[in-house]
Parts: sequence; C-alpha cells; structure tokens
Amino acid sequence: MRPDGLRSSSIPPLPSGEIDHVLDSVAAFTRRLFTRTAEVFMDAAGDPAQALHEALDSLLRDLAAAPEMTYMSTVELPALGPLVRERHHRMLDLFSDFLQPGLAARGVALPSPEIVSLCLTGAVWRIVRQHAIGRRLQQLPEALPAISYVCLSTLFGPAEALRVGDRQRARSARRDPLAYPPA
Amino acid sequence: MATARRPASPALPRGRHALSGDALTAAHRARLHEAVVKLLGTQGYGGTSVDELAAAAGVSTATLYGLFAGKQELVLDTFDAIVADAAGPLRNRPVAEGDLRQALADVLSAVVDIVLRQSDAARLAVVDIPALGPAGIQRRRTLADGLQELLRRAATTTDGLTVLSEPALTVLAGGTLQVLDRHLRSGRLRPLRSAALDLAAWGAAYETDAPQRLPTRSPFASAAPDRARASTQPPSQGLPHGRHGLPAAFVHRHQRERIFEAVLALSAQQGFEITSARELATRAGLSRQTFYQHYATKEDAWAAAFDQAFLDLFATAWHAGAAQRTAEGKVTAAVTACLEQLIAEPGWARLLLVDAASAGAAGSAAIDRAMVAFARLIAGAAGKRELPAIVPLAMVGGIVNLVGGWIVEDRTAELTDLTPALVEVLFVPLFGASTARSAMRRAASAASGPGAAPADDELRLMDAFARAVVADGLAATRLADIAAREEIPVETVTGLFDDELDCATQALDVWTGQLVAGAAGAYLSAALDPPLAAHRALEAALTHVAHTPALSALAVNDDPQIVKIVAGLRARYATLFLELIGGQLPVADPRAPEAASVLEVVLEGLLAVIARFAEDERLAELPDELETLSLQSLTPFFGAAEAQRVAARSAALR
Repeated sequence: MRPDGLRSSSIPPLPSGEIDHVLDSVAAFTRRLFTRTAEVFMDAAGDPAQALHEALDSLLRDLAAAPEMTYMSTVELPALGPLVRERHHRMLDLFSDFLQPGLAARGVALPSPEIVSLCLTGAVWRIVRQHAIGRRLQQLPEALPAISYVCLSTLFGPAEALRVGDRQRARSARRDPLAYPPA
Repeated sequence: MATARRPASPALPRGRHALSGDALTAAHRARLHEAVVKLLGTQGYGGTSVDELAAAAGVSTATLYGLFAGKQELVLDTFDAIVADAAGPLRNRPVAEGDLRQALADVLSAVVDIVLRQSDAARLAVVDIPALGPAGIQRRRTLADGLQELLRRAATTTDGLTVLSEPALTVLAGGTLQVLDRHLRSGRLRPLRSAALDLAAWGAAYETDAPQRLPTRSPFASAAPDRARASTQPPSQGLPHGRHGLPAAFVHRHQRERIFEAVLALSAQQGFEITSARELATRAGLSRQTFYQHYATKEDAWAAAFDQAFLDLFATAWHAGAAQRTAEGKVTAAVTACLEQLIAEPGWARLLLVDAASAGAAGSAAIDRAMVAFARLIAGAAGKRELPAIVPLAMVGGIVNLVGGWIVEDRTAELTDLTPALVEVLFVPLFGASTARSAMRRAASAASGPGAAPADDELRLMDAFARAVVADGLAATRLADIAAREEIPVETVTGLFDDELDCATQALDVWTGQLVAGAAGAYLSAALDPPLAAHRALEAALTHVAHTPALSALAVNDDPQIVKIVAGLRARYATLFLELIGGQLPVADPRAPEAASVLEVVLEGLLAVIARFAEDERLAELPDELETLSLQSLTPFFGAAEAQRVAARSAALR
C-alpha cells in the first residue's frame, strides 16, 4: 500500500500528479452529473415520487452517454483503494439527497434511514458498474423500470411506484407508438 | 370424510347363491382389492377409512374384518396380489436374444406394458404403498428387488455369468422405479415406452468386460424384513416449564428442533402419512397450540424437516464439488462428502433416503424438487456429453435405492464403502467406462489409504487468500506466500488451484453456494407465508455473511476481476435459489417490472450494504440490521404492510 492510501498494484504506475488529474476529472464529471440530476429533480419537486423517477432517468441516460468517464468512475477508480473509497462514500452521500423527501415521508416506519439510503444508492451504483464492466452502458437506461420501482416502492410504497411507472409507460408510448401498440 | 360409495363391481346375489365358502372369500377379496386400488389412488392411504373400503367393495365391515386384521393388512394383501399377478408373466418370459441393451429393453418394455395396461394397480404398487409406513416401504423395496432380479436375468449369459455389477443392477432397478413413479403421479404414461428404451441404453452402458457369477433368486420373492426400525431415542425433552428467562428466539429454535426430531422418529416408526399433528406435538414435548404456532399443518412440519435434510446434503455436495477443478473431481468429492454427511446424521439420512416416501401425496412436491436438484447437478457434470433427459433423474432414483438399501439394513455407518460403487454408477454415463474404471480404483485405494488434501487446509487457504486480496488487491496476492504463511505444503496448493484467479473463483463459488443453500432452506421453512419465508432467507444470508467475514469481504471487493466472477455467480445462484424454493418470488402487482429484475436491484442494494460493513470491519454486526434490510428488501415484492408485519414479528422474537 502506498503512503497516500492508493493500492500501488491496482493501477498502471501513474505519477501521483496524473492520478490527481484523473481524480479531478472524475470529480468534475460527478459534479456535472449531480447538477444536471438535481435540476431535473427540482423541476418535478411537487411530486416527490415522480421527481425521484425523473432524476434516476436523467442519471442513467447521462451515464450511458459518457461511457469512458463512467467506466473510469465505477470500475477503475474504486480499485485504487481506501483514498478513493472515501471519495466514493461522499459521492453516494451526495446522491442520497434525492432520497430525502422519500425517507422523510416514511418517517418512523424506517428504523435506520441511513442503511436504506445506502441500499438504494449502492444498488444504483453497482448496477451502473455491472453495465460498465460488461461494456454495455448503452443499455443502462433499460434498467430504469426495475431501479425506479425498487427505489420508489421502498420510499413511497408499491402503489406510488406503479403510478409513476404507468405514467412513464404512457409517456414512452406517446414518444414511440410502435413500442406500445394499442391492444 | 366417510361417505358411502358405489361398489367397485356388481355385488354378489343376496340370499342363497350356491357359491362355495372359498369362492365367496375369493370374490370378497377381489372386490376389496379393487376398492383399495380405486380409493387409495384418489384419496390416499391416510384419507381412506375401513368403512369407505367396505362400502366401495359392497361388503360389510364385519366381512372385511373377517378377512383382514385391518386396513393395513388389506392394502398389503392387495399389493401382494397385484405383484403376484404381474410377476407371473414377467418371470416366465424367455430372456431376449441379442445384446445386453436389447435384453434390458425387452424386460423394461414388458414392465411398461403391464403398467400401461393396469395403471391404477401399478400406481398402488409403486406410488401409494410407501404411505403405509415401514411395512409399505419394505413392500416397495420388494418391488425394486423383484425388478432387479428380472434385470439380472436379462444381464446373465447362457453360461451363468452376469455382465452388470450388483450396484449397477440395484441402481438400474431403482432408477426404473423412480421413472415409473414420476409418470404414474403425473398421469402422463405415454412417454414410458420411449423411457424404457432410454433406461435400457443407460443400463447397457454399465456392461463389464469381467462378468461375474452372481447368486440369483426368483424375481419378486419376499424380501428380508426391514431390520432398522423405530428410533430408540427417547421422546424429546422439553424446556423447563414456567418462567425460565430463556430468550424467545432460543426457545423458538429449540422447539422447532424437537418437532424435527419427532418427524424423524415417527416417520421411521409408523410412516408419516398416518402420523397426526397431535402425535408430533406429544413426541416433541409441546402442546398442540405451540406446535401450530410453528406449523399450520403436520405436512408443513414434514416439509420443513425434509427441506432441511435435503438442503444440508445438497449444500454439502455443492460445496465439495465447487472446490474441485475437473468434472471428475467434482463428482468424486461430492459423493464422498455426501456419504460422510449421511453417516454423521443417520436420522436425517433415513428420513431423506428411506422414510420420505411414507409422507404420501403431501411430500411428493418436496421430494420431486430434491430429486430434480440433484439430477441437475449430475446433468451439469456431464458437460457436453449428451445424456437422455430421463437418465439424470433415474440415476438419482437409483442411487436413493442403493444407499437407502444399506440404511434399511442398518449399514449406515459403512456407507463410505459404497464410494467405488457410486463412482461406477455416476462415472460410466458421465465420463465413459475407461475413466470410471480408473476412478473406481482410486476411490477403492482412497478408502483404505491416506486421503487427498484435508478439507481444513483448503478452507484455511481460501480464508487467508480472501483476507490477503481484500488487504492488498488480487494482483498483489500470491498463493505461494499465503501457503507458506499458513504452513500448508505448496503441492497441496497447486493440487487445489490453478492460480490466484482460480482460487478466488472456487472460494466465491463455495461461499455463494453455502449462502444460497442456507437461504433456500430458511425460505422453505416458512414457504406457506412467502413474506416471512423471504425474511428468513435474508436472515440466514446475513448470518452466513457475519460468520464468514473474509470471504464475504472478498465477494464485495472492487477488483474488476472479482466483480466479474461475482456477477457470473450471482446470475447462476439466483436461478438456483428460485429453483430450490420451487417457484418464483411474486411482485406486488402484475404491472410491476418482472420479479427477476427487481430481485437483481434488491440484491445489489444488499451487496452495497455488505461492502460498507466489510470496509468498516463490522460484518459481525450485520445481522443487527435485519429489520431494516428486511423492510427495504421485502417491500417491492410484498408491499409495505406485509414487510412491516414480518419485521415486527421478527423483532418480537429477537
């Protein structure tokens, strides 16, 4: 283990200056991603469940649209060791902000909100990583229905998750009538 | 429910009818036999009363009791008559000319012809008879022995030499009965004709080039009585009455274990179908009310006990096989480990391989699931070698017949002596006769000489390896260094693993297999209440993680190669889990995404939490988060109210 907490054997021997450069690039990517997701989230803030769904949709599409940065963020950097791990935790905490309205809505019904928050943000992150490792990030948006259903049903209940899912399907059908042919 | 039934065939004329006493008795017997076949086939042994049988036969109850001591004797007499009728023509058939495959096909096709002509009677003789308990199980073994004798005659040359080994004959007979049983239960009899040909081809593969002179006896002669009988163990001791200050979870678990002991003991003593919930409760030292707090019916208790026995054995086979590199090694290791497990747990062994058949219709789903799971293991070991679809299942049925026979003969402690025989039975169809011969020689010498690397070394090595990868990364970890540190010989290490990646793969395979088997067992213990079952599965999984911190941390490690291994295992084991629990997880609404994709998201969330606890070296505390994780994981499937009900119940117990 290197003194700076990076695992020396896990990454090609980059000078520490270059590692810092990579870390900075990923940090900038994450900030842009968060900002854009937050904008989408706030646009639908009157309907917390819908807002979370929209935020997830935007997040997955943006990640799919930037495969190199997504691969670096989710596959290469985590293998570096404890220093990056700390950044990773902070990043998950950042995105858990989008869960706050839902966590507040569940109130005392959730004995340990931080565990639920970790479960949901961690699930999303790990699914993104699966797609990155499998080099199939372009398919990431297809994971939205299941991710959204799990997040929304946990925080708002299955009925709300289904309502939002129905709305999404109706919108998709309007966008692409062939995808949902009339019965 | 006792309802008057129409007689099975027209009643005899009333009043004076000039029939002799013997003819009258024979007529009554025949009518009672018909009634037994008809009623047991539709409502089972336990659900059929003497009054119903008499009414269906058109005789008085007094007449029935004049001929038979009771229901059991009548059913056994019916079985004996059916088998005697079938045995005559089979016994007198000349052995077909031609090769072994043709001779076996001829015998098996003749058996199938009889089954197709008299399917109701065949169902009684093959499917329903074990529900009588020990006497019924012994009759079923008589049937297997009779079939074995027929097969032996087909495999014996004109100069008296038999070209199939005794274990192969036993397995072929047991496998044939298994196939008949499955088709008779389902009512799909037409495929039996082609199944007979597949079974013959399978049996012919065992032909040896060193034929033996084996003692023969007449097919379907009465078998030796079952010597292994009632458990000599005293009834279970209950906990002290009154306030004892013991934790609720401990009491709950202890009560459940006592119910399982009662299931084992009463199944062996009298058969399960005729055992009542009251008897189970009494034997377990519990009130009926307490019994029903655990299980809604006696069948639920039986299924939970059976599933525990099956999943323990399945996990043992999987674990042993996963640690081997070659398909041959996997099969040998699984056989050895399973036999050792059966020796270590003779009560469970007897339930699984002998007495399970006495559970009647209620147990058939659980038995079938277990058979299919093991058959899939066998089919998986075959790799690219094509086996007829029916053969793996027949092999499992045959092995149950072979090993069960030794258990019935009180030879459970000697089961490891069966290793060479089981190697032959499994290797010949899977890897060919030549590989089988050398494997049998190795198995025979292993039984008398020093064994392979001790399992302890292997597990210690995997554990140390996992810790090293988590600390330093996969690329910086060397197996040789770990072996030196753990004082394990290098040749042991090279015999076990190709390289570091292979070690990681095998370690994670073992870990995941144990996790899935434990979770599936916990699920099945409450299968009638799916939310509770899912909660129990999660509890078992978290406990496994807490007890195996090094391997758990490896499973959630961020190294891309480890992530790939885990992704592959997760897909395989998620499927296995769903197969083991015998169904699909439901989702709250048909409009929801399909259960498999929801399960994937939920599992990834759980792995994220495990990863965080591993980083913080707090995996031992993970079970403390059960309620939260259960609420979070169950809600998408069952809704918040059900998830809360189950979490509250669990919290109260804890």
